[in-house]
Amino acid sequence: MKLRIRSLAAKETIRIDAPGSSSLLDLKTLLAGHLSSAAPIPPESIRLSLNRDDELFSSSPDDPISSLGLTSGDLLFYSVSSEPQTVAVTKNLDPAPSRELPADQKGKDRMEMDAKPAAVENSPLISLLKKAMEVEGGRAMGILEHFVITLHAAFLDSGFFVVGGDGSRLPLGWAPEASTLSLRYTLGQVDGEMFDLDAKVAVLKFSVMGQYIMVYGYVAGGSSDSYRVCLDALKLVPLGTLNTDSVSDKEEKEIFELWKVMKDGLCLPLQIDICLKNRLPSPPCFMRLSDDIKTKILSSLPGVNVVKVGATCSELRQLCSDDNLWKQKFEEEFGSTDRMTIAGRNWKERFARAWKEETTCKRSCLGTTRRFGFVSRPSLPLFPDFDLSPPAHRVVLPRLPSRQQFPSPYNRLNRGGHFGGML
Amino acid sequence: METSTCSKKIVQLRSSDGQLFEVDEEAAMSSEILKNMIEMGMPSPLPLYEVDATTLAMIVESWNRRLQEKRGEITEAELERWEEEELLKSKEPDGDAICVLLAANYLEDEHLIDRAGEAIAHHIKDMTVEEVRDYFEIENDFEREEEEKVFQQNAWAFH
Repeated sequence: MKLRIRSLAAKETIRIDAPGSSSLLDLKTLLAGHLSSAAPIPPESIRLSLNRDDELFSSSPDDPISSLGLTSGDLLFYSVSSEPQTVAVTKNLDPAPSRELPADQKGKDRMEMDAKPAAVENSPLISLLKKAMEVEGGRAMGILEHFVITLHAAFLDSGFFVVGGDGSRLPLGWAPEASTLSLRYTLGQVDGEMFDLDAKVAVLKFSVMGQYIMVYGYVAGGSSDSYRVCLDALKLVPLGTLNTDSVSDKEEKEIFELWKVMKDGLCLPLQIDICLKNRLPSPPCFMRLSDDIKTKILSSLPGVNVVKVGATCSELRQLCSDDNLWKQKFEEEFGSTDRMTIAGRNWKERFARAWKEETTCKRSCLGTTRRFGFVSRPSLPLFPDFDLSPPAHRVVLPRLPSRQQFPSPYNRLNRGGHFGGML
Repeated sequence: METSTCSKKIVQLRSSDGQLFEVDEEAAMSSEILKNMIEMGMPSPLPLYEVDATTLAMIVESWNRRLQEKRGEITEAELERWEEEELLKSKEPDGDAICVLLAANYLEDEHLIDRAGEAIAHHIKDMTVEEVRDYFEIENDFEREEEEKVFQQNAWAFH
C-alpha cells in the first residue's frame, strides 16, 4: 500500500510503498531507510501516528499494518524519539486520514514531539479544506487541481453529493484531466422518485483560457440558466498553502474570499435551481442570501452577536470567523488598531481578550455587569490604551455606509446566460 | 422618463403568484432589474418570478414613499420612520424584514437591501443562539462535540 509519511518537525513528506502484510516495525524500518541523517536512525525510535497525537501500536509484533486500519493513500505523521517506546495497546482502527483532536485533550498517550510548536488552531474553513486536500490529493498538484478540490469541498458543504461512487469523493483519475474535467453533483435531499431525473443533477465544466480558469455550472435537462465563475489563476495561489502546515492570515483571508465566490457563484444558485425544478423547499430564506449580504448584516452587529450567529450552524460559523469582520469589530469597540497592544493570533482572539479584560475591569472596579447592548461608562479612564466609549446603540436603526460594490451573482438568476463572480 | 403630473409613465408588474401591480415608472427605477427591463423595452407586465404579491405590495409602497421624499412631499425622517415601523417591523420567522431583503436582493434595490439588512441586524441583537436559529429557520448541524467546542471557545461572549 502506498503511504505518505510526514515529519512533524521538518514538514516534509516521504512516500512509501509497503506491502499490506508488513508489520509496523517493517514499516518503520522502511521509513528509517528513507531518512537522511548523520547517524542511522533505529526503527524502534520512530513514532507513527494518524492524527499527530495517538501513537500507532500493534498488539502483536507480527500484526500486518492493514489490521491497524491503514489503507493505501493514508497520511501518517512521524517523529523520532530518544526514549524507549512505552507499551500501550491503542489500536487505531480509523482508516480516515489524520483528524485533529482538541489541543486540550488529556489522559491519552501522546507522542513525543521533537521541537514541535503548539498546534495552531485553524479556522473551521481552513481545517475543512486541509482535510479535503489530504483526502483528494496524494500527488503533486498544480493550481488547477487545488482549485477543483476546493470547489468540490464547497459543493459537499452545500449538501451536494458526487453522482456515482460513495458520493463524497471526486471521480477516480480526475487529476490528470482537470482542464477538460466535467463533474456531476446531486442534492442529498432529492430522492429517486421524481419523474425528471436529469433535473436533479448539477453539471460543472471547467476550462482554462490563458491565465484564467472558468467553471460553468447548470442543471442538466435542457432549459436551465448557466452560472459561470471566472478566476485569475494568480488569485488561486493561496490554495496551495492548504497542503502545508501553516496558512498565514493573509492567505486565509484570500482563501475565504475565494470560498465565498464559489458558494455564491455556483453552489447556491445551482442548489436553488434544483429545488425549484423539483418543487422542493429551497434552503431557509436567510441562507439563500449571498455570503456578501450575510456578511453585511454581520458587520452591523456587535461582536457578541456575531459570535452568537456563528454558533447557530456550521455554515454561519465559517462566515463569522472572517478576520476582516473581526478587525472591524475591534475598531468599533476598542478604537483604532494602530496603537493596539493586545496580543492574539487573529483579530477575533484580540477582540475576545480585550472584551474579557474590559468586562473583568468593570466588574471588579465598578461593581456593574455588562448588559447586552448597553455599556456602563466608567468615570475614570482605566485603560488609557483603549477607547472605552461604546458606539451609541440607539433605538432608531443606525445608518450603514453604502453597500460595498461586490458583483453579486445571486442577483442574476433567471436571466439566461449569467456572469458570476470574477476576481 | 416623464415625471410631469400630466403624463406620468406607468409600468405594470406581475408578481410570482400572478397579481398585477401598477407603479410609477420613476418609482420602479429604484430596482436595477426593472430599470434594465424598462430600458430594454420589455413588454408589460414585467414578470417578477421571485416576489409574491404580499411582498411586492410593500415594496411598491416603499418606492412610492421614496419618490415622495425625493419630491419633497415628505421628509426623510418621515420616510425612515415608516420604513422602520411599517415595512420592516416584524420579528417573526419569514417576517417582513427577511421577505423584503430577499425581494430587494432579487430586484437589486440597494437602498432597500441596506435598510432591510439593518432591520434584521437590529432584530437579532436581543436574541439568543436558539432564537436566531428560529428566526432564520436554520437547522443546527453541529455534532455535539463540535457544538461544545464552539461554546467553550467563545465562552467570553455568553456571559
